[in-house]
Amino acid sequence: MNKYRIFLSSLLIIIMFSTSSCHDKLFDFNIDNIDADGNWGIPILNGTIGIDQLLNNTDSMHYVQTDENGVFKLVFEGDAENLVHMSNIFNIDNRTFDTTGVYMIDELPTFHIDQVLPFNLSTEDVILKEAVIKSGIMTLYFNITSANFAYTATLTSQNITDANGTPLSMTFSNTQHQQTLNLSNYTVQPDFTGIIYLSANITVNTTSQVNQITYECHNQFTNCALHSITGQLRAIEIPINSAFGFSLPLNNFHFNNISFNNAKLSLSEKNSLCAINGTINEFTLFGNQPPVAPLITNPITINLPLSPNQYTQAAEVNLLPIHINQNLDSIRMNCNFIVNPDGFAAGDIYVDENSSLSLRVKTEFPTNLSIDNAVYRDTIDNDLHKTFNFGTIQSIDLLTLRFAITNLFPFDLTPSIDFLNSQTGEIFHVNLNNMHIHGAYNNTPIESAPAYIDFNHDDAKKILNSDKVILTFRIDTNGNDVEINNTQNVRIALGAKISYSQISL
Amino acid sequence: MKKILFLIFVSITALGLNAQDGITLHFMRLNPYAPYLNPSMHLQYNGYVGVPGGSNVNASIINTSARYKTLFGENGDGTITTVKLNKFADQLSRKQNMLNSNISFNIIDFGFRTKPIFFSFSYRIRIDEYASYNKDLFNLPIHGNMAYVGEDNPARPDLRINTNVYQEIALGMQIDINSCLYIGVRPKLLFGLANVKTRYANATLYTDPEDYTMRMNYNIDASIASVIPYSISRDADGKVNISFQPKDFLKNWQNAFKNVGAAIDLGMTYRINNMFGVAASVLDLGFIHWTSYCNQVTGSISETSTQDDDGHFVFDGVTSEDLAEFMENPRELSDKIQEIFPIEVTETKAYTKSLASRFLVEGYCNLGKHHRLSALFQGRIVNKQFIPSFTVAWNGNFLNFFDLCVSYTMAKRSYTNLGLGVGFNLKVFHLYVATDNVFGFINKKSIQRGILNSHNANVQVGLVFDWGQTQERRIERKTRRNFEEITD
Repeated sequence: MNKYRIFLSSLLIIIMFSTSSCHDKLFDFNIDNIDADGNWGIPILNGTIGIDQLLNNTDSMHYVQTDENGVFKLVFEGDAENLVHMSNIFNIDNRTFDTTGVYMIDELPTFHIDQVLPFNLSTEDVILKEAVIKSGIMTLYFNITSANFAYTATLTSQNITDANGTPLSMTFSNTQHQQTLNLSNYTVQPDFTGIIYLSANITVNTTSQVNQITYECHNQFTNCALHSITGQLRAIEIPINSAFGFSLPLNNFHFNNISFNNAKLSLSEKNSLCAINGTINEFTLFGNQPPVAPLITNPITINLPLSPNQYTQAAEVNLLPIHINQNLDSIRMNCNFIVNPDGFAAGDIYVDENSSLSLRVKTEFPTNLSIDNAVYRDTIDNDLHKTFNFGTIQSIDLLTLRFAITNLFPFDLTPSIDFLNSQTGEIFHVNLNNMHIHGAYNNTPIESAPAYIDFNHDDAKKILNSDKVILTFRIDTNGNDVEINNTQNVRIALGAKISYSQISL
Repeated sequence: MKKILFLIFVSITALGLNAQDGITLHFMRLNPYAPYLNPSMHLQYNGYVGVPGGSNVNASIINTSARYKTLFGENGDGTITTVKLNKFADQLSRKQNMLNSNISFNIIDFGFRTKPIFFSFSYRIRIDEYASYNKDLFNLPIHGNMAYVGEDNPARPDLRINTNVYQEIALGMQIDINSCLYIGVRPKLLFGLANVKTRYANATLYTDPEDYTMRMNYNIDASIASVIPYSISRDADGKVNISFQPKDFLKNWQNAFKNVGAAIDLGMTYRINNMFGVAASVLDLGFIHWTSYCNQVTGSISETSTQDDDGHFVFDGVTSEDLAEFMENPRELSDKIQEIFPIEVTETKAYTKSLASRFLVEGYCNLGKHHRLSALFQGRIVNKQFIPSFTVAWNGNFLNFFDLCVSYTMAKRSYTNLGLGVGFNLKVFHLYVATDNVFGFINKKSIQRGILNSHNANVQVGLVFDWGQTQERRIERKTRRNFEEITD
């Protein structure tokens, strides 16, 4: 039995030691490397881009419209408001009317003098029938200069009435020779001859015998603004130079020539003055180096009848083919308007302070055009380093981008991509293998052969070290006249293949 | 006193080790747990009692592919510095890689003989986990989709899981029909504790070699049940959160008996003559009906996504508007992915799942009274997959108390399983240790490393009290003792 116990105890000790572990480090991680060979192909982008999406990234979208056939057109529309208004026709300027007179007295102590100071507000262009004054000052002076006796003189005018229709009445005396009147809401109505009369009732206070008096009268109008006038107008010619600005963000475009065909001009007028005729002498596109191109060869005559509440079309003109080779910033118009072309024969005309002539100019450039070697170049910030650092991508042995483009646009495209380090000036040019996308001139989609662009570690470093990306597209219609419409687009399929063999952490 | 201390020491030692329903143990004829794989096996005792909670703690791991040395590279001091995904992916089996683990421990077990029947009773907790996956599951993320280009070469990752945690109350009966034929039946009452089972979890991915267009599909249908309340939710980032509420379970501990099931083990042994015999058994033929906190996890391509005629989601790139949106707001991308690849978790009322059954067919040849050669074929059916193995073994009994067994097992992708079992029958208790794969522990650094690097690792150690060796055995021992007295 002892032998069995010794044997058993020994066996158990062996079991105990064999089943207990020596000190062994297991699952003690300090990983710096993962052995993994991999090759992933991922489609990234598969979408179509039309003109409207391209332009959505610019501020020029509001210039782009489509016609009933879906053809895009550039439309520049601008209003020139209050080109002609009442002050162009008639004003009561600051002026003074003077008179001195001698009157033979026929009755004492009170006598009446008609026509103390007749004066005329009409001009050679306007025979005034009535003027309602908005604001202004009239300063009236009256003095009997021939004697020193006391007197009172009341000057009145039936031609000048206040808002209630009460005629003008101002009283002077030997001690008060001058008075000032606020002419707001006063109406001036000359008689049929156009004359405004001031008459006086004078009462003298003297025991002396007076047979005649000498008087002095001044009437001064200052800072008068009018509510309205009624009168007969001569035909008045008014020259107008107006510019309609727009800011097409074409700073990124450089081109030899882009030709637009079938451009059109529409003129609309809002006229609350009176009948007006006009001649547009010049209508010109302007750009960085003015002028760019005249849009009309011959002056255009337009009639602008009364249309006080809304714009109505006055003229529509086909414009010349336009060839531009620079940025555009405005359309300028030079014209002459003749207000009330029938002149005095037209009879009485009423205009008020709100009456004016406004013009709306709309120029349409359908994208019926040809493009000769235009270059679009845009520089955008390279934010890739915010998402990736070289550590995260250094495990990638090779990145291959696959581009496939199906072009429905009727122009050739040649893209180019460069990465710029603006501090060092280093430029990394991405090798697109001379990618050239042909235009679809027959409405048949053109599929380009897929281009494969490889990037290795050095390329990745240069890309991540750059802060700018320069995108350049050469655009050309190869001498063809093309139309750009909303059925055209470019389909871009972009995929990436990533190869890695060891991932370092 | 010494005997008691020795007993405690061995019990503690036994508790610290793992054991399994292993093959090697089955051939050790003196071991009271040998009939676990065949309830018809004739036990040479009149009764036994296991140490409560610790007589038969079993654990095994089968890991065909994800081994420690395959996955990790270490520097001189044992620190893992490299993860060897290439090596791991390249050595995977194309169709079936397994990571299975089985743990069980007896709470109470005993047996006794009332001629001609041997009754046995056991109450134990079992954890059976089966996971199998194919090569594509890991090869695709490691080597990328460009390894699967073309219409006839899709990636098809597949994962199958069948995990059961349950209580098993078994009442066994082994009946000697006659001197040649023994039968055994062991009906079992089961109470489920947790279950995760996939009906399917797979995907298909085609990649065009020219423009990398992907066509993909996936299907997930899994059932989850647990007696411990849990919730599955998804946060705004799409991350899945699972939280358990064990306190709620303690308040409603009766739920531990809510998921009822039944199973049966059947066995038959036929002694052709004194030399040869055959045996067969079927184990764990049964099911559990799960009713507590059942959820179903499903997923397939959303019907609103772009699909081809075969119902695959087609991805050939995003539009320029979507790309700009995703770059500006990455959450939009994750939302879109969740929309196309939804995973739904819905409460279900109840479901029934079968257990992973196994069958064994055995033949033996007695070489005298003390030696036996056996050959055994075993098959498991798990997740609609068949897992076979074949074992040959020699068992010898010495000096009336020493039981030795050496076995060799061939399994799928594993041909170096040398088993060894040693048992000591010391009057009233039986102490044993056995393993199906000695090489699973041999490692110059540590046993744990050996386990992590082996195809399968299991150890069976236990302590059980037995009594009443059968008449045949007693006579044999008495004869031998008389002979020894005479020679002394």
